[in-house]
Amino acid sequence: MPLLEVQDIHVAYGELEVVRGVSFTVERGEIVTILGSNGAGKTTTLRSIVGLLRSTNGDIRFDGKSIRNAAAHEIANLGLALVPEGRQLFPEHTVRENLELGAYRRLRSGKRSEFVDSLDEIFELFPRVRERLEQPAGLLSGGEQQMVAIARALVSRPQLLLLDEPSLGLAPIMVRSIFDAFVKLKSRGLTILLVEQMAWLGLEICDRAHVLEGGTLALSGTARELAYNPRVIEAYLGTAL
Amino acid sequence: MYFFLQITLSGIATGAIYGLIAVGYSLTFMTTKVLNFALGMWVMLGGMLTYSLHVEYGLNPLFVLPIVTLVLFALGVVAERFSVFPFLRAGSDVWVMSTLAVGFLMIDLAEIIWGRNPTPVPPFIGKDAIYIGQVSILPQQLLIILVACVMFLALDVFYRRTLLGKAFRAVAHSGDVSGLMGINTRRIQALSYAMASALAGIAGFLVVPLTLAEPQMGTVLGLKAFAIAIIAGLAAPRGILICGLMYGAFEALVSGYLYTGIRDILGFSLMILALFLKPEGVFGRRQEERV
Ligand SMILES: Nc1ncnc2c1ncn2[C@@H]1O[C@H](COP(=O)(O)OP(=O)(O)O)[C@@H](O)[C@H]1O
Ligand SMILES: [Mg+2]
Repeated sequence: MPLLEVQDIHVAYGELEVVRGVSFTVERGEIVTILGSNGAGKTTTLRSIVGLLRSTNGDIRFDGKSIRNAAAHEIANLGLALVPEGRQLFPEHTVRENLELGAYRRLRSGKRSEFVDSLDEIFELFPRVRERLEQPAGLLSGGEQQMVAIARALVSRPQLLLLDEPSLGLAPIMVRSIFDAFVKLKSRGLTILLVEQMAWLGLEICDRAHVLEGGTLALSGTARELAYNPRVIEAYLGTAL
Repeated sequence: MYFFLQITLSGIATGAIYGLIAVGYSLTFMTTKVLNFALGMWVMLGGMLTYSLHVEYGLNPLFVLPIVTLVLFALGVVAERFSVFPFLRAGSDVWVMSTLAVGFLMIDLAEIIWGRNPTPVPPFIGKDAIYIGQVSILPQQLLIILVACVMFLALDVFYRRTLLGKAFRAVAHSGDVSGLMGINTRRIQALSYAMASALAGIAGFLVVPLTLAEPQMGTVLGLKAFAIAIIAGLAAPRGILICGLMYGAFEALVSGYLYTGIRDILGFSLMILALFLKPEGVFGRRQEERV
């Protein structure tokens, strides 16, 4: 059974349907990438998986259980963590407080020591986060904010990590270290659903990928298949190389 | 000078009540952008309950306070569930009307239960003024200032130090992102409303010995507290206490040196002026997004 199963979802803003019958699966332990240009419906797809938007059709199953009508906090507590587009930290909370909120459920059930353990794992992955711990998150640089946003998702110990364009607006060196972290996380068994506009970045680290165009999946395949697909090269890789 | 200090001090006691009510507006505004416009009527309910328990049943104020707090909290949960949440869920602004409607209903019910006649409530701790030099203060006024300061301190600790308080601030920033953290934003909405109701009840408990127990006792208090919340900034709970105390002193000085008639005119003009000059409040900060 796949960890995540998205079946024929349709999502609309008012009358305008922007996701039109998207289906795909994510197996345990793999990285799946969704590519697509601006406005293709990537963010909308992710937001409907985590319960911030509702699909009018189809079903979304996590670990075999339907989450289509579940509230965002219930879905989060099942083990899905989204790193939203544009990072979306709580700017007036300190970095530590942002991380505490990421671990909200565990801290509420009194598991402070588990939280301290996962902080150590975070510092190993992103050493710079430790230095910024007591600063308001809004004062950090874009790259540091992205690290904290990923850290905030990780301290919930998710089964599935969803990332919405984590490379957006970051310096190449920062992008490198963040994508290296994804590979490390995968080797530790984490399942990742990555949304990227930068096709070569996404294809480099993923097992399978889908191309979203105008709200439907235009192409699907392994990373290798898509990287050599003439259409992908022309539309998504060509300009960048 | 003596006159000035005397007036200022008793003004500050009234101001502490304003602050306590005003912070109730900020509690719900911060989490949901909802304002319980009838908070003054909840103050009245706290006051009338205090009257019944303390005067009619002779209960010690030490027991009255927790009862009033709990009852108002519980009623707050119910009122939010039926008069605010249905409209919030539908994305409509009708809660503006419905919070007021609940308030008017409360006044009507209070008139049926307690009648319209103002009844005095004896102060909880001593009737004799305490003298500091030539300046005097009533023990009840001192109690008000003390309790208000303790409540504000507690609220500050709640917002800054507790996980739930941090979640309140998170929901204030973004309900969606808070949901991603596993925070039940719906529960926090209801909780903030109930907490505001309880605070109003505590204010009613404290103030009723100074006013009289009657169904209209909270109406003007609620309006002034609203002005203070606007002047200080709805999202600035710390500033609200300071603003409340200052407003109380200002009001007392105006009626002491000028005359009572223009007191409220000046007060509400100040609110309108503040809205023009700094819509986010004197102590409020503009929300800035860093990309
Ligand atoms: N809140 C919204 N209201 C109306 N239309 C929206 C909203 N958000 C996105 N859209 C539209 O939906 C389409 C898909 O958007 P989005 O999912 O953000 O795309 P992507 O993440 O792939 O860039 C776009 O045409 C966008 O203009
Ligand atoms: Mg997007």
